[in-house]
Amino acid sequence: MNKTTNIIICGVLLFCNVFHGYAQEDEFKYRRSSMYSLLINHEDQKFANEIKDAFIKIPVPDKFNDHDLSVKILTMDKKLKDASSDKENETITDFLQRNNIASRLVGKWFNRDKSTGECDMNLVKERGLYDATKYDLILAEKSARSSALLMDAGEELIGNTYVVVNDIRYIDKAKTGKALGGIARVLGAVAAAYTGINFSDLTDNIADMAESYKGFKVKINTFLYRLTWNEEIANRFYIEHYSSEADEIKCKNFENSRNEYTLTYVGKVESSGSSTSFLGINEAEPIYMVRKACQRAIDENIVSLQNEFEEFRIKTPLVSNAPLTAYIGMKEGVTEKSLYEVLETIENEDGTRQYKRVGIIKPVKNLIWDNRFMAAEEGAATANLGYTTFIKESGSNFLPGMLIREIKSK
Amino acid sequence: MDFYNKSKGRNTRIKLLYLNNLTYKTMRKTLIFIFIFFTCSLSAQKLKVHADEKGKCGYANEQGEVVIKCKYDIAFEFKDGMAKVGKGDKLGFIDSEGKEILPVKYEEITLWREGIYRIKTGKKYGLYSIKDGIITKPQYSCISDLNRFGKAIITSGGNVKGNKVIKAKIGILNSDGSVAIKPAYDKISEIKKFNRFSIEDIAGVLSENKVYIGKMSKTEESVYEYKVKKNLEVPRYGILLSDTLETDVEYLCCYKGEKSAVVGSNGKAITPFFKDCKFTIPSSGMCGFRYGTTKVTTGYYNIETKKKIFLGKNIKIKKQILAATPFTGDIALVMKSEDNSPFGLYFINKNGEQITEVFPVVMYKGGYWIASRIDDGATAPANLPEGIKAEDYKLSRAMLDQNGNWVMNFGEYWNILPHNSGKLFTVMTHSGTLGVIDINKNTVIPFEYHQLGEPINGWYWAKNDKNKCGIIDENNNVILPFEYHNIFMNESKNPTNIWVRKEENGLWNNYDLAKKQIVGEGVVSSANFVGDYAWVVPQNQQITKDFVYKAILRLYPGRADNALGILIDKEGNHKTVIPMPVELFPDLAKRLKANEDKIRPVHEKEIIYEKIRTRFKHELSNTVIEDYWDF
Repeated sequence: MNKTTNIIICGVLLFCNVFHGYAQEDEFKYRRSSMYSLLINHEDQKFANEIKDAFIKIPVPDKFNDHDLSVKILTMDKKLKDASSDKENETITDFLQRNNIASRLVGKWFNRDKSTGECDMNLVKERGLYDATKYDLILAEKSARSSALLMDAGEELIGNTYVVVNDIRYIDKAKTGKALGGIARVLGAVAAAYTGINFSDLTDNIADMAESYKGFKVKINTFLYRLTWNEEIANRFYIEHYSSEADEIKCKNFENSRNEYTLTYVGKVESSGSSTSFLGINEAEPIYMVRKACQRAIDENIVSLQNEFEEFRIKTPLVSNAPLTAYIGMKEGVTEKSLYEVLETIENEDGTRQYKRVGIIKPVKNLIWDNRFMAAEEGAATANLGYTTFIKESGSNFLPGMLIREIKSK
Repeated sequence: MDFYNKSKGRNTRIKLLYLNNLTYKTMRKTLIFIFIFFTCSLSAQKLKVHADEKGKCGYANEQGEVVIKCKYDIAFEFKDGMAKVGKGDKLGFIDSEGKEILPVKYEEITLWREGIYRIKTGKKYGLYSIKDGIITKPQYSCISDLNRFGKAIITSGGNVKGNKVIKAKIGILNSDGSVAIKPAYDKISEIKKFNRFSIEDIAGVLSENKVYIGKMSKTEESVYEYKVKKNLEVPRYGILLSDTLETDVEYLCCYKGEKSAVVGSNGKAITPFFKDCKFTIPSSGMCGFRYGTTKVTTGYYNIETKKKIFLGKNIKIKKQILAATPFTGDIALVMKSEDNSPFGLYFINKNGEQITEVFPVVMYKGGYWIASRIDDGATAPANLPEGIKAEDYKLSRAMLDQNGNWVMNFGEYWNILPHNSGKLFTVMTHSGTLGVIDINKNTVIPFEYHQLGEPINGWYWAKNDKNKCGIIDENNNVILPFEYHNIFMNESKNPTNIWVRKEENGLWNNYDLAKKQIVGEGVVSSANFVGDYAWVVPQNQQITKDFVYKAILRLYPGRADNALGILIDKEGNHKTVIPMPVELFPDLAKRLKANEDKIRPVHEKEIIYEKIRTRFKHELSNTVIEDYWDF
């Protein structure tokens, strides 16, 4: 080997050691479902304020569009009746109906001015990734193409609007019968199955405040509702309620018809109740434990809902095809047993879209990104991957930008 | 390299070839060495916590190979080449080879500061340095967290009850683990740097800039009641384990039983111990003290001469009220009132001797004392300075420096106001004109003005003899012409726009300093420009009392319509639409900047409803009032 080659080899090897080779940062735009999330905060409990503050900071998951309304925190000073039941919860449904949530979600889609009734399609265009100019032109035709465009928006966007109600209760350590002080607990049985890592927690004798946050645990019941949007409702809306200018009559029509917009109960899940490790939390700021525990449990519930209810499953784009990678990970419930269909998006001339399955992929066991909240601070092995790597099960000609969607539960 | 020097011959060529070869081999080896070293270093840093099926923890490398056996009940990530591990309820440190560098026998190991950990064994705390090992053997019942000045409380002995240590001896630790003040005291109280004093309802504050001594509120703290944390005050409260100090502990009031003294940062008492005594922070070598309750003794302790100077001994507090400021230079101000008479203020030197007459009002600013002979029924002394009328004498002021020298005498100027810098002084002549002079009384800004504001970043707001306002700089150059009834000074550095008003109760106009003209429309009220935008209430603003308006009133109850405004840019162009309170200016400006100087009403609404979302909560059983809903 000549000296130049040797130098080059050394340089390359050195280079490989230094750089981790993250996937390209380009973002692919794709249509997402929209979510409005609410908290039921139990003020009779300890840490009610901390839970509320943590919840406010938890963003809508990045695989969903933020469809939050201006009311986010609901309170009650006792346990939610029938919280454990899988059946539709009367108290929650009653609140949603009484407060005309469905109509408000529709109002948000069209940026409806409550005072004048004026609406626009800007959010629809933005989230639907339509060519704005083309969209307006087609709509102005008032033709079959216009109708198709509106239906497309309806099916894929407006009809994919969800309300997620999180009933969060703090689990008092004293009542669980765990002894305090000096006993190590081994946690993370769920995590162990996928990553081979257990994280232990250790209570100790520092100041009361930090002490009470260690082992902080919540139980979350998450209730899922979907905005009802079909051809009939859409037609009624566009004809009788939608106006691009101030219109007193249409404004009044909408106000009087708010209760005709409805939500459909989809289902409910409960968090596993597994403890969250204190690892990674700065002991001077133990309050982060509340956010970590809540966010992990909420994310877990979102994944469970997606497993149980296909309609709620997210799509996410492939960011590379050699290897196959996507910005999705344990937070979205990826495990070595997951399977994903690869979808090719076909955009029709009239601006509508269709999805066609072109193959199936599955994650590589040790290359599943741990993107759960504070996974990196915890020292999780795959926290720094930045993406999950997949291998092909079937199909071919996968391209970056194609969407993947889970098709089989764990 | 193949170098052949013909003049030196073949041997040279061989020698050079040999040297080149040697250099090449060395370089290759060096590169390989660097590569291996780097790889090993990276590998060491990449050890991750690993647990086996039984839940025991160890460490694995990137390839998943267990390099440190799984024998611990708990394991934390490596940092600085060490990892905290635990067995049962004991903790210790291991290095990257698994060797215990701090035995696993400590109940607690917490980070105290970068590179130093607080360790605890058998109820005693010590310190461990990653560089030097154990630097403080576990011996203290408490080591508090360090404060921002690098000081911590230590306690010795006492009883730990819950999160408190009581009946312990208290001391101070430095950030390197060395003892600043030995734990020998029953309690400690911190003395804040700013000196405050009060006598019942007369209060003053000596700060960096100024002190006024006159009738103020009753809520001011007493000069001798420096900030005391409740839990430090008396032994029965003890020290909370989570306590930290507030000051840099240059001086500390330390108690032995009921007696207290001021202790310096070297741990030595600089005053004697007095019973039930409170102190001012030592300054200029003098430490004020006051002890007693119904009968009070006030004075100073001269740290250098070790002499006590009494201002008053065993004085009944109802009969006479006496207090004094800390020394500034060679003088201090004393306040005295007997039998409810008006307060008299005079200066003393370090021997406690009165060196001035008694004044009704004194001010401290920029390092100087301004004494005033306010018309309070005081009569002029027999011998007035030449040329000074009695009337002038009563209302004029004089200035004293910290050495007790009169640098500006009574009668020279009608009024004196030192600037914060202490180098320049705004003075008023007896004819009522204002100018600026230096300490040598050289004119810096001529006496042409009838009003002159304090300088802001070198600019002065001024009013001339025609009753018009303008702005001048420190060289008396006109920045903004004297054409206006009023000016709203902008405190930013190098502002480009100033709000001016042409008439009383008129509109405010945006004066562009670069263009030297007013731009845009006049407004009813405004806040100063911050960056590219200003909040204004435009004239003839129409407020639609819609849902957004109602939401704003939910956020800011009682806010008047004329206190809701919009954002404009420097040309006066309206950048927002919805009238909002000035408190939302930063959010709006931020949004504008993020959106390339454009936002739509929907974005403005989002800002309001974002506040609503985070601020309010609603009963699940109720119907939420419509005002709170955005859609």
